[in-house]
Amino acid sequence: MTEKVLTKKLKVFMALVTIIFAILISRIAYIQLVQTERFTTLSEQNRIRPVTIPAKRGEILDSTGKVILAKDRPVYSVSVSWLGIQDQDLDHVAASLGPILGIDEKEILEKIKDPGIRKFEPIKIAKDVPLEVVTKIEENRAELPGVEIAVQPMREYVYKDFMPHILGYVREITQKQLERHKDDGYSMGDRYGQAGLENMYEEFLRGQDGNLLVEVDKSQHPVRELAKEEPVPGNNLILNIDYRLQKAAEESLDRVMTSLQQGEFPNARAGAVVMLDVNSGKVLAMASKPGFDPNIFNGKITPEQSEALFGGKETNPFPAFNNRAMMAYPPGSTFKMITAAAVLESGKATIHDTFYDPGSVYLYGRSYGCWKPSGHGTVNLVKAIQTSCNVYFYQMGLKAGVDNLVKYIREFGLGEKTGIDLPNEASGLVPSPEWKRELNEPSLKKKYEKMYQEIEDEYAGKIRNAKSESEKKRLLRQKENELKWKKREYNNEAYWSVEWREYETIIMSIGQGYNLYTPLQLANYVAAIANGGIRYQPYLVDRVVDYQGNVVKKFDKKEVGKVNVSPETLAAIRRGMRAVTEPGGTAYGIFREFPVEVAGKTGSAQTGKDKNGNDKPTHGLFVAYAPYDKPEVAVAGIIEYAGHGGSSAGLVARDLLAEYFKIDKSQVPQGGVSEE
Amino acid sequence: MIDRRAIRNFDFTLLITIILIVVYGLIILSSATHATMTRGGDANIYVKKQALSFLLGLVGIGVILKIDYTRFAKYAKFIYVLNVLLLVFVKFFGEEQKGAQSWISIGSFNLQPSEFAKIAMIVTFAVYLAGKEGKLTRFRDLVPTFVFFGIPMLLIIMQPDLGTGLVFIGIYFGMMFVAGAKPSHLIILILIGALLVGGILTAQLVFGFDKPLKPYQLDRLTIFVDPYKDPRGNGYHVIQSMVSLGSGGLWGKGLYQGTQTRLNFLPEQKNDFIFSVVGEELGFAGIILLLALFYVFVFRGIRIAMKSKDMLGTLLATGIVSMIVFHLLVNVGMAAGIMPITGIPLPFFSYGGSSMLANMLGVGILLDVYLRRQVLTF
Repeated sequence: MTEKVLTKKLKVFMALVTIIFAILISRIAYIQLVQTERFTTLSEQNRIRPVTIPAKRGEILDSTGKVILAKDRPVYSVSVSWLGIQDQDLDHVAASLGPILGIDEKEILEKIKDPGIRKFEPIKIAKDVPLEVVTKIEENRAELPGVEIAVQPMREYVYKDFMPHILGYVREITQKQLERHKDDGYSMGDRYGQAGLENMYEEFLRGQDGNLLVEVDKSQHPVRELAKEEPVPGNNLILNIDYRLQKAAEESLDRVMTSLQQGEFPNARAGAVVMLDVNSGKVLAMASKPGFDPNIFNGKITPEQSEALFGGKETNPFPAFNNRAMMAYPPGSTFKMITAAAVLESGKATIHDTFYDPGSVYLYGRSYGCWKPSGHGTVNLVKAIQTSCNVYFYQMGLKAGVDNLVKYIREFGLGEKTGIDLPNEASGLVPSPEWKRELNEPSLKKKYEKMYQEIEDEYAGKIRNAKSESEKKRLLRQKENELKWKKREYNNEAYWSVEWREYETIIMSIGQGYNLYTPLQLANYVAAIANGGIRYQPYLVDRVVDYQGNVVKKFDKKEVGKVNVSPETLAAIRRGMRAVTEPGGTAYGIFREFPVEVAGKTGSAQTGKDKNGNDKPTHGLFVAYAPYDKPEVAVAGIIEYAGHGGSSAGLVARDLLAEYFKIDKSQVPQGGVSEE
Repeated sequence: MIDRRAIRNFDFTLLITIILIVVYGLIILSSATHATMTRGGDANIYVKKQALSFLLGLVGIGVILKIDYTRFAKYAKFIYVLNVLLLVFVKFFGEEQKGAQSWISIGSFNLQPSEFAKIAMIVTFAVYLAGKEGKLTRFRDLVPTFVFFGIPMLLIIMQPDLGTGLVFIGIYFGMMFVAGAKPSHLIILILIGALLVGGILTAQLVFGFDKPLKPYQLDRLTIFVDPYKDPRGNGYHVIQSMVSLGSGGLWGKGLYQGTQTRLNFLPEQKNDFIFSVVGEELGFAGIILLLALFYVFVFRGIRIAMKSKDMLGTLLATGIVSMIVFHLLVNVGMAAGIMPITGIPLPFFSYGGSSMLANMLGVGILLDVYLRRQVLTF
């Protein structure tokens, strides 16, 4: 081999080596310069683990801003960090920890043996651990390597079964809610307000979770904290509800219901009361019974608890979960101010028109009795309201006519949602000829169409088989006759079930029939009577305040309408309501000697018959406002199956008014009987 | 003994390049071993051991420089037999590490004969081929070289150490090419080899034979084609190596700052995948520096092959250069996901005394060939 050939060969060799270098460099350039971003992301995903720090949920406070009704309580949970125990004797740790927590050590061992992939997260051993146990763990630190105590927020309703219907409750977000709010930063396992104010003001209360970025190594052990974003606590709600008033309302309801049950009304087991500020619509108190303790929603609901909460007609006719202040009930005589307004405003009668009440009246072929068999004698408007004279209102209702009644029901906002800041408000029901027709006509028509068709079909067959032309004609005539009779039958039936009948106007005038309104609507209607006809939207929350005390949102009174009723009519109605608590009034027995002048109205709503065919006790209703001359508050209350309104709901209203006006208990007579 | 001529004939550039490479390697090794050594012990134990191996290697170079390489011819037969015997010994009595039976334990000292086998093979093959100058023109002339080269190579492949086997093939082709085998013959050989590998892969992958490679070996060898097929198992090494490289970008995350390295996501970071540590912490710039140093080394090596006074010197230099280049190709290719995972070290970088010593001996041979390129009169 010559020198030249060898040199050439070595040059080729060098070239080949250069090509190898070029291949390697271009491959690495592709990875490092072109795909930098992709691999940087992958390397960050390798090492960074985000951990959520839950935000403290906002508190709910009463109107004074001092009484905390709902808050997040820090709960101790005991966890074991895998990093701390990996080199330790697991059996020893479990054996030391077990007796302190009162958990079987085998159970602990099972939990800590296999942490799976998320080793950087502590393994939870026990939740809501009492402080004594925490102290004990701290004392025995040396024996418990890797055992960590973490603090987690848990919702606490401080006064347990106090106003649960308003506060609501919090529970893990449902799949449906998660889907609906997926853009609001919720994730699985987050807490979400499920009812009441917790639900209504979720966006304010929830706060903003913080984040902790932890760097982990290949074995998922935490190495250090990379970044920490502190959580922002949720905003607090300051209510219009005064703790003191609310407490009076709840206690009074309980007390009155208990005494009614011990008396002749064993089924007086549910009721509600609402107090509004007549000049703003602020809800000062709103109680519903039976109540429940929303703290139970922090854990598993037992079947017994579920039964008590949601019930069933057969097993538990008084489910505790319902907010009865927003459920629809027949209003009974508390409706009579509507009838008065309707007849006066439509010009069909004057304040001074009188009727003579002998105890009953014969109208449209039927006798309608007054609640007082001996009658009230000659009554005018004021006396009629004072004595709740049915005979007067039957006739006034007829004079006004159903259309006017409906008009003034709507004027006062009855039968429609008030727009209060709570979910699941019932709207109630305003009966009217149109409503009745829409309700019953379609099914009746369908029933008759079917019968007409049957007749047609029957004769179609007969006519086809007819032997002669004359027989055919005879059959045709026969068919026409039968159809005519059927149509007449339809008209007869529709007369009662589709057409609005006078008797319906008559019973509607005294608040019976199909009327269904909520205690909240009744309170708002009385407030409008008291304040000269302004309808406010009732509201529970006065302001939203952030955790530093800055006002985030302030809610002001909101006028939703002005009742189109003349001041004279309203004044006459107020005079009548005032007379109710004066000597001769149906609630005089309750408000006798009451130091503040109260205007009210009793009501006893019929509830139908039980399975033995006996009348069930009436629902007792009572509405009122006070003081008479310069109204401040309106109250409406109901106790189911409690007999007379005054001696049931009236007592609750009286207790509430006494508390509102800070009247010494000794000045208020206990008990008391009302006439209706 | 060191006279002026000796100094003039000494390749300082090569030695300085090697010193730079080794220092670079020690710095990277200190980063690669930093994280694993935080819990007790001497944090720099690996760096110290590696530096010691390097110093030992310098002594080795000194020893080789005292020997005229032309005298290798005398010992070639002895070296060849000793080499084969050592490889047989390690196959039956050696210790197994990472699935390959390639270690000999002498007290607390572990020796990896396959590392030295490469040098032994280069020396003996160079002597063998030097005597065949001009006698490799026919294809059948190649057959004896298969036997000569094949015996030690098969012993290594059977350890099993496929990576070193690949390097052997590189050395063989490099030396055969320079020794005067016809390029067409060599290309035919490569084609036959490719057919053989293709045939084995087809038989095993398509027809499901489970020989000669065990299924897990096959998986490891082919996973680099699609590492995401098994990202937590066989594909893990390739993926994490590429993530380390790629996330380094142009300038890297900084020395000791590589998250893949520091947090141990990068496996075998002080051994097989030390190249990815360079890529992660010093970026593309660091890679270019590393490859540039090696390129200078290779360039000087080929220059020595050219300037050698005889064919033996040329073949020795060619063999050493081929060895280093194939180590680079296989190791870097593996880190960059274009070569199967065979687990061979990056010369002068990967932690390991045997490898360092053997490579330093190779450098000594290069320097020796250069030093004695003229007939000296001592």
